[in-house]
Amino acid sequence: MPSILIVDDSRISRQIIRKLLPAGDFEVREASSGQECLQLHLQSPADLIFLDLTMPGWDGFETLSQLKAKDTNVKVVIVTADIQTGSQSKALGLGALEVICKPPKAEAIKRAVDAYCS
Amino acid sequence: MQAAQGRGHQAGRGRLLFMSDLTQDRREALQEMINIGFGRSIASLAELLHVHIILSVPDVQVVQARQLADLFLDTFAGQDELCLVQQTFQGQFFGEAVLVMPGGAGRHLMIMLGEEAGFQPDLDMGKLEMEALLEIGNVVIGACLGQFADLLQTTLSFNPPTLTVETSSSHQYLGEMSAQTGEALLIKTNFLVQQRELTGYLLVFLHQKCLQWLFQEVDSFLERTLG
Ligand SMILES: [Mg+2]
Repeated sequence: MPSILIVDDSRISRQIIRKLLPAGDFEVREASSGQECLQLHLQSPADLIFLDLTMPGWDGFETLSQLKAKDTNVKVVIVTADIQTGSQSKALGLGALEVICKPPKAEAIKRAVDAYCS
Repeated sequence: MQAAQGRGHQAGRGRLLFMSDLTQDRREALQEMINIGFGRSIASLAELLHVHIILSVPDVQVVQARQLADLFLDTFAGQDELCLVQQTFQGQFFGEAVLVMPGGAGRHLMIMLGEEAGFQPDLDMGKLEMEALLEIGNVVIGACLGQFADLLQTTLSFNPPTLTVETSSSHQYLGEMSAQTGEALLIKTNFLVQQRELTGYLLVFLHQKCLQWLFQEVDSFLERTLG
């Protein structure tokens, strides 16, 4: 069963992404911080990680770098309110697969799941 | 909601808001909606100034209006001078947004804007700084609250921004705030322009009289997105 990890400091945001996942059999886990995300991914690697950028503690950039340092093949899609072009290119430069702007649309989440999680 | 209405403390359009009305769900939803709105503001600002900006996680709380001045002083302790761009807005919800930046921010912004807009720095500096502050305030407040209103499926109208410079000896704005009564919803978030070490805070005060409408709409938003 493909495994999806949703990482956002906002519980509402995590729930929104969870709700937008396409129908299918996935194991879905949530983390409210970058540290928790890394811990969960190391315990049991996720096939796809939806990662927020603006978080207290490790932000999304730091979290992405930490993930990549431990697992170069990790698949991360950013879901963020930080829609600056600079932030998008920074995230892509760090190895994110794509950047989805908040509020996320169902099609964008579905596309990411279909593309990276099958 | 029902139970609170049943207390019937206030007649007319609004009613007294109780702390308990800002449930965890509503607080988190408002936080995330403002986060999305502020993201839009910051993107506009970054584009205008050709810089990269770091956003913070917004904080939402219900405060007594007369406490606002104290909260404000706590937030900006140690600043000799502050520039405040205020803008009031009306619609189904109403209140005031204030972009607060340290004294001297106008100069930084003017230089950053000037490189783009071809401002002549030898012209009236004070006036240009004022214009830069007002323009930035207008962009940040308009984009954030515009997006916030969008998420609530409504539209706001904005009055033109005004600028106040608050010094440690003159607390014009704080004086006005202290005179207010009732409760307000305070949303506080900040950004950092790294290249210039420039920080700004956006405070959004939502009037008590619209909180009933606001909370209803937040509940519908939650219903729509999570229901
Ligand atoms: Mg966040």
